[in-house]
Amino acid sequence: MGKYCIKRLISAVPVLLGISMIAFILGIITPGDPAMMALSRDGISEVTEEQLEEKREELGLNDPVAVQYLRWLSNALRGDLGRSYADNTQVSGELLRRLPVTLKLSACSLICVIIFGIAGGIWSASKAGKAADSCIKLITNLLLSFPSFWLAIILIIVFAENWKILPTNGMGGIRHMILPSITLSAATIGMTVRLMRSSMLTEFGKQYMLAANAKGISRIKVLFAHALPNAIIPVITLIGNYMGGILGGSFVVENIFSLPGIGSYVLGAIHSRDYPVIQGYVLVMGFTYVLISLVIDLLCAMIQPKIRLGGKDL
Amino acid sequence: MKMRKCFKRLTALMLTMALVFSMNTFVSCTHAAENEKEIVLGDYRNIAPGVEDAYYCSVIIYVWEPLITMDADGQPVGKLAKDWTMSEDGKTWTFKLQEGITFHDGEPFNADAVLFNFDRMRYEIKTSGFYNLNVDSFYPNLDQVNKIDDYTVELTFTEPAPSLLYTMTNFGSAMYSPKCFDEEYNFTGIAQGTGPFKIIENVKDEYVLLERNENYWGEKAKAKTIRIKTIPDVDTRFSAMKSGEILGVIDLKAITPSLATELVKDENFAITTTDSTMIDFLCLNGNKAPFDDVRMRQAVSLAIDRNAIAENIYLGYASPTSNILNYSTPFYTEQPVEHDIEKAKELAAEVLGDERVSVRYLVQEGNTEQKLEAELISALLSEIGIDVSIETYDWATMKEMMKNGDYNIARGQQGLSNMEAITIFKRFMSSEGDQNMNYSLGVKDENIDALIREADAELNMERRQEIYTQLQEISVDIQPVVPLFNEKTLMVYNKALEGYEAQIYGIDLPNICWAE
Repeated sequence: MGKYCIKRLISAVPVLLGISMIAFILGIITPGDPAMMALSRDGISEVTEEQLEEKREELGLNDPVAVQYLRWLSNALRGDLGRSYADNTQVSGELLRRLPVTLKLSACSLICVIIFGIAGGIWSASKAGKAADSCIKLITNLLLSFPSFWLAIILIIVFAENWKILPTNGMGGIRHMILPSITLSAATIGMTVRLMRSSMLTEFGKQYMLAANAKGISRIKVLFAHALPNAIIPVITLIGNYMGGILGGSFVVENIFSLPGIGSYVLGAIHSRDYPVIQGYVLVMGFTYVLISLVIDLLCAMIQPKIRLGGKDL
Repeated sequence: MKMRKCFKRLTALMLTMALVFSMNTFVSCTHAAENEKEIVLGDYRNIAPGVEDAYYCSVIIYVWEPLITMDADGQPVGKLAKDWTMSEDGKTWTFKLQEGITFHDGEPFNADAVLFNFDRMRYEIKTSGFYNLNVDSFYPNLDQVNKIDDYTVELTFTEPAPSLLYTMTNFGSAMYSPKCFDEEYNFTGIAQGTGPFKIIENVKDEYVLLERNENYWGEKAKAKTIRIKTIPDVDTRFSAMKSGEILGVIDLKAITPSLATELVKDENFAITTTDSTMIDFLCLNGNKAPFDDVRMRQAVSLAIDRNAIAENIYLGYASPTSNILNYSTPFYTEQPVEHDIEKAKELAAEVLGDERVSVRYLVQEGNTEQKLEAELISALLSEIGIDVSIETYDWATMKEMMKNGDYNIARGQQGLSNMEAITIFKRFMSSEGDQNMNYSLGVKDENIDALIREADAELNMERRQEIYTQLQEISVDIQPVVPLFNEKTLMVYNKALEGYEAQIYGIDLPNICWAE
């Protein structure tokens, strides 16, 4: 297990390096002058050519791209992601301040996915072909086809504007997280229900299930002790992959619900060509994504010994 | 079994009752009329961005005060400065300060505090999301700042500065307690001003909490506490208004005309509006054909139906104009707004002959109004022989394209950095003007340059006004940019509040309170 872990961690290094390089180059090739953006923050002041040149020098924008990249990378390794061009704040500090908000939102969404997605899938599979199954199928279709911004608006209109039982926006207790996490997880829930259902049905058709049923083991036990551990592997992998989607998609939800997470941070940064923020965001997200897939792989390896033994049969 | 069912029903009933009860209390709370209760308002940005901003917070939350502010007509009036005189040569200004004022932290406001704030301004340019703190733009040619006595300060200039009062209004003469800053004159904590409100708590991207300054030297604010929440999305602000979570929006662009109109269909809400310092226009690339010919620019201006744009797209919350100068400065003069498609056709035909010309029209991404407006304008332009293709980009990309001259028409807007009109003439109409260059406007006219130089050296404000009027007339004639309309500051509020009145910037915050 330890060896497997180390192998996976080492393989993550080139991935992260690649991510950082792409993030950096993307920042360089997009049009827009960061020095100009930094000096004309107010959109009103007059900026002279000398001020621009001085700012470019200060920000190191006149150096060759490779030098800029290496300088940024070596600082990043020490935890210094530079200062935002737009508002002069420390990027690493700002990301750290905002990360908990995004993580809280993602965790709430994940809980929604696990509760509604997995349970819905199992239930749907156990009622395969019946009315309940068709009903769930319809709901999942709806969940999959709602764009998240639209769903957000509908939820706000119903629960906040009309019924006034949940807040429209902002941070606070768990109440403030309900609408954003439902919005963020809707599509993933739909996907998970479908996969869980088909995965369970595949297991139901296997011989060990026939044997288990023939032995007269209770239905609940057959479902949860025998079918579930086998059926859940692809679902966990999928949820792992979708965590990336949840984290990446959080900027829409954060913006609508006014949550000060890293998604809304990068959205503003993209508009103002704030390279250090964009690069810091991509790096942190890349790292989180690699970490999540590592955790998912380890989780699968724990549930299924076959995986940690490299596919060899027991 | 029966018992269980019964219990289930009872629980459901109790839950429903609890829900209904809590909803009732919520609704009745928002309408309670106690002036000690917190008032919650919404804004699209951090109105108090904090220590990294040159001003910490905007002037519209009444935390800091300037030496000179302006009245409803944009004329300078004293705030922390009681009285002032200008020497005959216009090179020395003497300001008498209000006496007996203390900053929120207890420090006295006097000549030493003013000198400290000038030292800060002269230390370096500090950037801000409102206005950059740049001594050269507020006090051009400033030489010395001297203390005459505890409540008298003298400013001397190397060149005459007759219009100083117009450039130093509001953001130009913000005063903070000297204890707020570190050795590089950056804020170390919450800004300590002299205003009717003080900041108690500021959570970036969430809210800023204001409390009435009980020791305020003037008329005290009516509301005890005001919380201003940051809600970036306009639809969410709309929903928060409807749900009663916020009772009003402040700041420019806090709500769109269509959402405001939608909101006031509900009789609990009302609109307040006034002139804004923002002007919206089309930039035409004057460095290449077809708009390097002044007749084509005039043709575009004549072809555009500005009234239709203002009425249909901005629902009347825009004031059509053909003058480059915004209407909130006191130097503005009313100019005719002409829409004559036949005349436009003639002018265009003189340049184009029988040919048609294709142009690229850039608008900002994600701005529905600008897109609609572009469609309306391109329909009109096609009548005079111009075929338009509309392209959307984000502002940073657009700016780059405009600077490189890689466009024909682009949608722009400009705010006034101060009430002194010459700034706008210099930037857009002088051959070396920064916006003239940035937007590739191609304005190069020795007559205009000479007029601007003359105005700059003119000590007599009446004569200055004459030159400004002349420059405005020229702008209408040659259309360095094609102005569309002056914006209106548009805000909405819940009628649970009273005294909610829009100003050129923000609202009259100290005057708002719960309605009886």
